[in-house]
Amino acid sequence: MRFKDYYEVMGVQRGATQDEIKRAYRKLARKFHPDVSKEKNAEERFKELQEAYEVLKDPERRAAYDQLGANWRQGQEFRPPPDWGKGFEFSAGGGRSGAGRGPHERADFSDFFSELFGARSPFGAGMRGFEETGGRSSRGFAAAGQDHVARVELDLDDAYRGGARTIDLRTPELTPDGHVTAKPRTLRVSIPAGVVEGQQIRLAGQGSPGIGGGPAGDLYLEVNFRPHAVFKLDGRDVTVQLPVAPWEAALGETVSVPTLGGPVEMKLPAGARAGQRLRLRGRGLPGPTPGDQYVVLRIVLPPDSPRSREFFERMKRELPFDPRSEWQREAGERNTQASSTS
Amino acid sequence: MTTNGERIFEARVVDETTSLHVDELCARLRIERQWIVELVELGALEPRGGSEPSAWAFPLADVPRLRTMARLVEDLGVNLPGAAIILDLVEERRRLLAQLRQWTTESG
Repeated sequence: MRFKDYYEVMGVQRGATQDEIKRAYRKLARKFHPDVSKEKNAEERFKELQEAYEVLKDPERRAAYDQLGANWRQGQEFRPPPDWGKGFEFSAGGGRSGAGRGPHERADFSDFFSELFGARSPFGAGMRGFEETGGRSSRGFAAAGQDHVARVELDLDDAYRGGARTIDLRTPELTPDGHVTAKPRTLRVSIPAGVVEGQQIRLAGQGSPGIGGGPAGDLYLEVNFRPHAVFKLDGRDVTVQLPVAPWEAALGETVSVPTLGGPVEMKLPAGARAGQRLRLRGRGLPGPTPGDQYVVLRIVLPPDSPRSREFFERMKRELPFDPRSEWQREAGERNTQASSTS
Repeated sequence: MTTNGERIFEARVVDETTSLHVDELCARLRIERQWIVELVELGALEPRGGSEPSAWAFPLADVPRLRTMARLVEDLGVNLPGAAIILDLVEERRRLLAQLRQWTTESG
């Protein structure tokens, strides 16, 4: 077993006050809490931090830990002293864990922690609301294994068609020197069609093994999609920006539009505007209520050439058109108002 | 399900249609029923099934939401109303970031 330097993990001096330890925990928890953190190794760091805090926040556990001496270094080979825990007065249960009535879903802490502070240690007796692997089995009841959660990135096609995909996961695991590390794990997973961004999919029994014959936990995968160059997603709805020629928009031509299921023909309304949003009902992602596809028109001019210039010159001469006339009138009114009030 | 001897794990969408009895939910997340009752009172969870807490059921999609709230309470000492608000904001932020990611990739 390897020694864990909880002071080092929390970045505090051995002489730190309980208040300083609490402040250090809050600061680091804010930085590494997996639900809000932007740090890459947030989950691993947070587990280490939780374990360290579990010991240092409790004056009894901290005092016992301090008795081991200040000469141990993080990761050093360690055996608990035979008289471990002797001569300590323990408070009678309660108050050790964070939230008494709250959830007790706990990270699996290191062997170092289990041995010194786990349910079978002198500190384990009367420990309320603290779940720890060895503890649960020794109390003689079966419990379901812990659920795991991971984020996966899928291609849009996986959501549309579903099907088997290979997923690489990083499972937090303890190294022999007592650090938490991410162990790679590869799974072939059949993705259900119609899954949407942010949704979770569940792999039954792929979490932590159960205890005392209890069922294994589940693995939850939160789905993110890799951005697609053409199809943009919002839930089950899909948006594409469709380039059209000025005359296609003006005349209301029929154009070919890409959809997730393949190209479809769409008739533009005559006099279509740039930025106009047209809907293809039910052409989004499949689901109980299938999504729609929105087509946003982008009017694109033909590439510059003497011939296109000639056409534009002719339009300029023959079409009396000022696209900003409305606009200028409004801006003009505002200018008049502004000058009259000042 | 196997192909070429390789195991393929079947994933199911954690959806709104499948329900979980309140006791099953508590057992799975290792939380007490009172906790669920408070969240229902706060409007953070919508029970199905019956009016009595013992008859309540919740969509499977509430499991990840509850897990996040549970962690916030346990790890950061946030109270339940606070955790419910943080969850709303985290979900909203996730949705907006996903949207942003979709549109900041240059189409080509």
